[in-house]
Amino acid sequence: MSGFGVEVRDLTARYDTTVALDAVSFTIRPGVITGLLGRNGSGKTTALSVLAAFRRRTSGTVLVDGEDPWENERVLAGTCLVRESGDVAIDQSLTRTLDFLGDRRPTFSRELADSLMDRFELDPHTKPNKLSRGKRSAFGVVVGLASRTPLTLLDEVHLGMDAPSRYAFYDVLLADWLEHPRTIVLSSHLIGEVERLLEDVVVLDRGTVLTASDAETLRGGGVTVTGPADVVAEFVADRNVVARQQLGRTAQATLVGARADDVDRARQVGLELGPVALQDLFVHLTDRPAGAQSTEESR
Amino acid sequence: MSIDTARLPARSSVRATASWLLGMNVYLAAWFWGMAIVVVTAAIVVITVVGEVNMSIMAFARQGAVWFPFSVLIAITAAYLPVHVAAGLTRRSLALGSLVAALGTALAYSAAYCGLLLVERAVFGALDWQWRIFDDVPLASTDMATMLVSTVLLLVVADVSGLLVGISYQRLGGWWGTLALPLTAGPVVLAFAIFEVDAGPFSTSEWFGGARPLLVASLATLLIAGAMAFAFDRLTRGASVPNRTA
Repeated sequence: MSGFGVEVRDLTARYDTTVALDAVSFTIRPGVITGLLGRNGSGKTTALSVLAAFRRRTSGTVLVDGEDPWENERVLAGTCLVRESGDVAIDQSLTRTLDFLGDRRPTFSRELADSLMDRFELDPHTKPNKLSRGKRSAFGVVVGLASRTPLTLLDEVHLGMDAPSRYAFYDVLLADWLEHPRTIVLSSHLIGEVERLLEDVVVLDRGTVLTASDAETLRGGGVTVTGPADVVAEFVADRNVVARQQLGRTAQATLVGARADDVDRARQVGLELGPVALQDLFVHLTDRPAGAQSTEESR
Repeated sequence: MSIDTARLPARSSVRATASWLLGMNVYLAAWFWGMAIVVVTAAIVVITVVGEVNMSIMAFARQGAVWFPFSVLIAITAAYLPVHVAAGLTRRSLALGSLVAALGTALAYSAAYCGLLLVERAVFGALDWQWRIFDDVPLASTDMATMLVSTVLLLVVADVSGLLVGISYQRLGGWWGTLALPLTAGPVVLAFAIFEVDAGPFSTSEWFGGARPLLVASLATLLIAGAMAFAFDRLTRGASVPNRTA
């Protein structure tokens, strides 16, 4: 087996009177890259913090590689959570921080860390509090990937990074995961960019699990229809359309709830069917009527 | 190659934590004592110009040696918890490592303090100046061995108190952390009082028939330090890692 599996059952986490997670249950398969998606305040960071034993759960069961992670030396040594805030000593140079981690993380690869430092153009003698937001995020990526822990949790780790750096991150993540398979959980708002990496998806919304499945099954729940605008409009007339685009006379609609005869019907009227973008499904799943916006703060 | 899922850190995490924290404290101690030497030397020069030197000046550095590492340990406790847990280490190792580091810090400051007192005494003797420690700390001033023991114990209480104040603010927040100061920082004042045999509210020379006041004061101080270390350990093991900006 490569990587830690995660079993979450009826997990509830509260901050005083605010319920961040309300009896959520999901499974993360070992050795798989899983996307943890959700809007601000959906409970993503809280869920990851409980998995990494950054905070205690209020109730429920959390098993990482079959054991409770809280104060579990083996599980903690094999779990790395990188948060946007960056949990490194802010008054120590980056190279000293890498020394520090290399001394404590049994799976840490200094070689990979150094190559990523070069790739993201990070000066090893700079201190984290002197870095721009994007560079700080890049250093979080260095820490997360070079730790090579059996369970790597990356929480919005690429916020602030420019597009070339983000794509470099995606490439490195995939390449290193292929060479050293492990469980990676990626929390992100940039679903369009990361969806090619994701094998499984867990969608949280207001502290509950909206859906948890493999990405293909999720995508299979919808379909895009492309063709002449009037024909597309007729085809989707009585359907649940979650996204529309039009360029000249050509239109594309994204449907949720594919039907068995869709392929035949589309062929008859000359329309093209295609896979649905995960981002469109996410927007559809987490869409809230105006005025129903959660008042919860980002957790 | 897949990731090995059963590996533990090769090095004891308590030892790694203690040596890292101790290294940081020793670095700051070097600055502290370097500055103390400069200030004490300057004070002695001024006194010789305007009057007569008749007591140890270095002895006054004891207050600084108590409260400086106390403050440093408050800050380190607050800043280091996220770094430690994010590095995949347990709070248990943080608590034990911090306590070992606090003990080491107390020993280092005490050794530096007593060593500098000896140097000062030698210099005063060579210049034929009177060397004595100010009169209101009789237990500590009887001889250098007593001074060393009392300083070590006082600093152990102060340093563990620094850890306890830091974790209390972390766990309880600003208001409750402040309200808890009599319990978390108050023991330092109590330890000072205990070693002031014939002064202050606690006349330990009278305790248990007045025999062996240093032993009584030392045992009382160790008891206080032990209780504080236990409280620090309990509070640290249940601490959540706060979110912060780098």
